[in-house]
Amino acid sequence: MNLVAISLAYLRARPLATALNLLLLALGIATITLLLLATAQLEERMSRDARGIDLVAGAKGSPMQLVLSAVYHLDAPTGNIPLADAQALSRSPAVKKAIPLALGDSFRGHRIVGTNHDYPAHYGARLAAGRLWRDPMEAVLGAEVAAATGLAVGATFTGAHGLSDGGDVHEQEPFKVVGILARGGTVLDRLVLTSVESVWEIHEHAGATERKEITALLIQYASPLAAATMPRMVNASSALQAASPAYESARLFRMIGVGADVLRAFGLVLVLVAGLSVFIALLNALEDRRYDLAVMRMLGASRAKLMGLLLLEGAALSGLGGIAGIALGHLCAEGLGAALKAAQQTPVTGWAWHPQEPWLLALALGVGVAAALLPAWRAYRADVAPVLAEG
Amino acid sequence: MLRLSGVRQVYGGRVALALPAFAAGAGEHWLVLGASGSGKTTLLNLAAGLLRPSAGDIEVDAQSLGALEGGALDRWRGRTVGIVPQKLHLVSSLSVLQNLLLAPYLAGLPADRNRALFLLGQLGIEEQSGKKPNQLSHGQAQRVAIARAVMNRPKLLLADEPTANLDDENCFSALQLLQDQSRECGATLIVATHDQRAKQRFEKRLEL
Repeated sequence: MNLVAISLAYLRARPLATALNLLLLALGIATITLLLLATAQLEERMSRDARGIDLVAGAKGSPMQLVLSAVYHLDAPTGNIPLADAQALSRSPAVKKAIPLALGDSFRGHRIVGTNHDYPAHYGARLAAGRLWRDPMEAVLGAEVAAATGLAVGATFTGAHGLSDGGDVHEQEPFKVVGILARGGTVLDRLVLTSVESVWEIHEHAGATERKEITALLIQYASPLAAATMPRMVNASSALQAASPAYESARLFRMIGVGADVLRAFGLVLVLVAGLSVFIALLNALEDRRYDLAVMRMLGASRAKLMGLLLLEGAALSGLGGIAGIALGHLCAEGLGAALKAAQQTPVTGWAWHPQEPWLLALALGVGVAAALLPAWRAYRADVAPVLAEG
Repeated sequence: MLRLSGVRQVYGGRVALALPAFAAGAGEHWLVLGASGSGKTTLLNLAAGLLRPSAGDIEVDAQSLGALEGGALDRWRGRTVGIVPQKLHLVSSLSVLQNLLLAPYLAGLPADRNRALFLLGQLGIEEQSGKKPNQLSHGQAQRVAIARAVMNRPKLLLADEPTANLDDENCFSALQLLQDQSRECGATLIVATHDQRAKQRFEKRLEL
């Protein structure tokens, strides 16, 4: 017999009120947990995809579209740029590394990216099977592409024109799978990599262009000073524009951030409503328990002990609700991750912790204890003798 | 053992109790008789330290209650005084056994499960130990309240109207239990009642 056992006995004695309060708290905490996990993982994932890429040079258009298409492979490209311009840019002394990307085709919704070996090397990609491409029409699959299509080394496939499923199929130009990348948690997982020449070959046969073109150039600066001059230099050229992944993704997150803030406020409101509900439940329970509390005083409990009992009850309720909420939040994150995976989007997982989660538990506990304060104070102040006499 | 001197209790401008002098020796069994409103319950509350007298001094076992403050008074009460309130007031969300164990816990004494089971056996309600108070008959609930009052072997056992709403047979058995249990603990027993039937069981009486 101790205060914890007594608190729990009281919570068990009112299962409906207890369940309702637990549910409210858990929903609020789960909403905030899910948001924390999802935004943190998305940001982490996006910054990993953009790491080491200081600038993207591509066709003129929306800079955000350029970054989304060339770095994250989410949006359609802004267009193509002449290979000569790209090569001139690559030779600039301010450029340490320049990775060409040629987009335009896809295989069952996965983008086929014409590039060089610097691209997988940039992300530190390792091969799970086979080798990297050497000749035209050799392709290396990202881990998710291989898992989704079931293709193995040695298999052949044909790409479709356009970035979504259902474009014209380039029947005459089959690709041969020569390698499969190990899962790296980067954008490479959902891409098909090949040489730039393969992309040209397909489109020459398809009767496209005589002039050689690529879609974009991923640039790493030789020195931080280049950040001041390089974008201006690129933008000065008539056909090219420069976009900074760091700036554009920060802009994107500011836009998403408004929605996340609204949801977070919603979660906070849920937590506060739960606190109010705990408060009302404890205050009502106090009315039923005046006699019990008086009897406890009669049996030798001090005022402080009774106060502690009610605070403990608030804390037990909110602690349980907080833990349930965090668990629920992780479950939802995992569910969301599964849904996003099916849509080939950046996945989210529930199997990761966010450093702010202990604070969420503290928030729940704080709300529960705050809700118990007034009832606890009333228990502290109550006079015993008159209560024992009624009944 | 229990000594009241010059005690007056004024409540809402009305004198609820005026007792120039009263003393009960160790192990004595006293009956406090009086009509309702005569101050019987007030006397018990004063002796238990649940009320402070408006004037006068109360001593229990050579301890002046006026000298005890706040938590120390609560603690002293839990260890020294056993109380059977008129409206029993068992804690409804705890089992019978837990209700008994509540007494040593709240008084800061070690939980004596064996004593709780022994008392339940002695009072013939050991089968009820796992039940909740609202599953008990009135007679059983009263026995639980008596067992709870003597859990910590009090030096002073106070009972307020223990025979109310009881037929003759149960009236006398309730009084018998109180007397037996206080004898067992060596406690001074004070029973406050307006029930004239109780007179024949007590030699020492105080009429208010």
